[in-house]
Amino acid sequence: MIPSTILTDTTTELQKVLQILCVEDNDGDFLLLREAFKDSDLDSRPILHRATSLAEAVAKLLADDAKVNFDIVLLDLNLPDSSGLETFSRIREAAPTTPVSILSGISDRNMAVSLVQSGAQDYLPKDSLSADLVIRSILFAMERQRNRTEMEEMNNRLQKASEELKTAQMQLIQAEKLDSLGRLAAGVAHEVKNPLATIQMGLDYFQRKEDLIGETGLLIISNMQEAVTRAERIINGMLDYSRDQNLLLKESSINAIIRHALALMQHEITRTKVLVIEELQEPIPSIRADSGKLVQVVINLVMNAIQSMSANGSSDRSVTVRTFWDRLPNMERDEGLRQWSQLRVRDPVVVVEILDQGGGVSEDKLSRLFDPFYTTKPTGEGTGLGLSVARNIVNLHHGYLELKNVENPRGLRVRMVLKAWGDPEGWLPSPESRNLTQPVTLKPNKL
Amino acid sequence: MKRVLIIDDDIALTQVLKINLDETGNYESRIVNVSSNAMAAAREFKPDIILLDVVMPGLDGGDISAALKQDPVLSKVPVLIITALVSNDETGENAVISSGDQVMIAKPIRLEVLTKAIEDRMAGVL
Ligand SMILES: Nc1ncnc2c1ncn2[C@@H]1O[C@H](COP(=O)(O)OP(=O)(O)OP(=O)(O)O)[C@@H](O)[C@H]1O
Ligand SMILES: [Mg+2]
Repeated sequence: MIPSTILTDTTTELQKVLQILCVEDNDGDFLLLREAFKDSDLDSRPILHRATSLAEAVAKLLADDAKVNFDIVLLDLNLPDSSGLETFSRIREAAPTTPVSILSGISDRNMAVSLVQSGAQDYLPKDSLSADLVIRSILFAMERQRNRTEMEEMNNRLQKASEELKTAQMQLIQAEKLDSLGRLAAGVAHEVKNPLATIQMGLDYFQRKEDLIGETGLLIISNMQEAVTRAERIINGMLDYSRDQNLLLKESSINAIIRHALALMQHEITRTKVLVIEELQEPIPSIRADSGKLVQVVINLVMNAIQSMSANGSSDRSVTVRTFWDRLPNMERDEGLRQWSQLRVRDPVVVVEILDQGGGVSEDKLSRLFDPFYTTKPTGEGTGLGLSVARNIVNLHHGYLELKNVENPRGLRVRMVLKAWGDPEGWLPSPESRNLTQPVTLKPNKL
Repeated sequence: MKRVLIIDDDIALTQVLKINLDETGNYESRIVNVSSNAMAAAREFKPDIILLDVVMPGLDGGDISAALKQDPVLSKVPVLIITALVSNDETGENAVISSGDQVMIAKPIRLEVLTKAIEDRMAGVL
């Protein structure tokens, strides 16, 4: 904290005429105090209000029609209707944010000091009141209260940030758990089904040799056949469980998902004055997806795009959100992200492209972006979990995310590739009908 | 006799598979266990159909499939993809799945299902 700002702050505070509530039943003490203010060299003399009992003071502080907003309470602890600590806590209760300075006699000096430790801003010894002392005490009291309020605000902000972090962390853990469960299931399925396939082939071989094997042998073979079938069913059940159980997979429209996500972000988009251009191809094949989770992914990606442009202060400020469909061989495939057991060459895929003009990411950092907690944003603004959550969710859909720097203008292109779900209308051109080495010609619908 | 090229890294499985196929008297099959040898073997063997595993070390089924499509001769050879990663409603009777121009068969495979799929695929009805 810089002292000079304190001074300017308090000076303006003083210029607007201080409103002081003096809670003092003793007339002599009150007069003394009033005298002290008369001597003060402040430009505009503070306005002194008086209450002679706790009840009156509380009423004044709580009166909601009161035009007066007290800047400080000067409080005598020993009043006709209350004394000591009780007095202080009742005032605090009535006006939690108004600074309180204790007016203390010799007898309650110790109490005053301990109250300062537990929330009062200062104390004033009645026996040696002077204009200077009172004014200074008031300034300090107000300053302390301001600091306390600031601290509480900071604390609240911190708490909020930590809660956000916790939520993001939960999402990450959940998505990661699902993803790794899926991987584990796939791994086990692969490892077990291969030997099962060998046994199955063996059984098929021996089943043909009835005459060599005899009746008992055939019984054994049929039991073994039963066992293979059972094992296969268990493995498949595990695959099914890890795959679909935890995602709400429904036939969904990627364009609807994007519109929903952008609608949810409308406030942020307006606030940052970033132009969001939608180029959503229609018609486009549907996907099988948990649309709630994909909305979350799109929000994360678009938010990053918007933030990248406010970060580098570029004057071009548009984000393009584009959808189109294609067949896999035409896509540039990120070798690190092969999901070949799910996405196969020539599979129709639906692609979401989010293109910003935020300058992109240096090539050596590109691979780090998916790391959990990797962030370049100031503390409290970024958790660094956005992209890792997004990637886990996309993996669960057996799709992949891909990052690429682009030029003119420089920016980052994020692609989400998801398998298209069927071709009910039959309007997807057959692979033979077009040149597979050429990228699809797009006729995006500008919205 | 139709020529069947089996590309799969599982040695035990491919051995039994080959014996079964060859014993039908309808097929002459050849095994490739190391996927990096697949293209050379395919060019030399000139198969009528290829059985292709998906998950293999090194080049996987996707890589091989892409390479096959680049080859003027081999791109015309029908492929059956054999995979371990399908679920309950895709086994037994439904073990043969075609999606787009892909035809997949679920492991473990019953011989009768496999031979029918091979015939259908070569006849162009799958
Ligand atoms: N479109 C983009 N352009 C430039 N840099 C980006 C872009 N998207 C992400 N990044 C970089 O990747 C980092 C990680 O992104 P991620 O979404 O995982 O976390 P974050 O945005 O920092 O925090 P959070 O998403 O929790 O708010 C960002 O801090 C930023 O440096
Ligand atoms: Mg982010």
